[in-house]
Amino acid sequence: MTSLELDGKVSLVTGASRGLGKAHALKLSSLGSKVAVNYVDIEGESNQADANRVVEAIVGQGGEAIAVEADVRDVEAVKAMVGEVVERWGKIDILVNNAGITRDNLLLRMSEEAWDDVIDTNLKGAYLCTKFVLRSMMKQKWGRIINIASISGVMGTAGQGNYSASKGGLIAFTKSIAREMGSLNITVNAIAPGFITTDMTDKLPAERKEAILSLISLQRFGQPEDVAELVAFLASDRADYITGQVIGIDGGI
Amino acid sequence: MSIDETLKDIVVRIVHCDEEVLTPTSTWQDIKADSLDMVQVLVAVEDTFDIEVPDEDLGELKNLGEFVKYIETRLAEKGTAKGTA
Repeated sequence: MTSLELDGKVSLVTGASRGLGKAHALKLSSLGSKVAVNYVDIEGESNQADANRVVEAIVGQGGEAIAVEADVRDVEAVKAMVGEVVERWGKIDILVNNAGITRDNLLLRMSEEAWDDVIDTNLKGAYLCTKFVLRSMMKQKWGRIINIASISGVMGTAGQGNYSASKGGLIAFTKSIAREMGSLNITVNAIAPGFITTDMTDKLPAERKEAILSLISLQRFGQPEDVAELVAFLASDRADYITGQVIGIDGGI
Repeated sequence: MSIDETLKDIVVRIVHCDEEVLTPTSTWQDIKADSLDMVQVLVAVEDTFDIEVPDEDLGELKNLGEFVKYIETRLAEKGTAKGTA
């Protein structure tokens, strides 16, 4: 039997019940990694059924996966989630900080709550998950942290002051932690996707989508699988010498 | 293995220094441990002895002997003042 590139590895993907996270989870599993599929149950929104479907899809392909509930903004929940994965599989090799939300508005109309929600989920969530997963990676002196940033964090986007700030912060966080952890053979990189077809971009008005398409050299939106390919590469030994980088995947904007 | 021996074992493994140079008065500077080494030792101590060492306490632990005493105290508070396997 041919061994797969990520055989024996354990991945934790946050926000993996749908969209980009789901694609990352499926891709990592297809390369042999065991995958913890994180989802959140918060007031008025349960993603458990979606997360279970991702797990079923992975198991159906002969892979191994579990669904793990945690609000990434909550330190105790993150600690418990990491503990559950380590208890189950003994370690975590690959962390994909993917969980993210938008609460778009022009700054003059943006509520403090919308600001805090986005920063807490997109930036604090990555900080908490990284902090607790690092223990496992430090012990084995091998780890891959892949932060899903955004082109908004590089270029800025009108109406997304909170989201752009969170993703720009995530990029700076990536570079700092890459420097801290380099000597332990833990790489930390960020991916900055452009416009990828997900539930999040489906919410954009048609005129806005047209305007965006006109900016994209390849004249189409990306697919979650396009980004998942890059996640898989950065998670693999082929990316051994890449750290502290922000890699755009945006069809040429 | 005693607490002292276990701690020495952790320090040697992480800082890559000779066990012979480790004495109760050895400081982090003496063994040339950088901040990342210290954090790794801390994490290993927390995992090995199942205790939590807050950052503010770490600053007070100037040498290995003080660290051993600190671990003994924390384990005594937990009611398990014995070394680990």
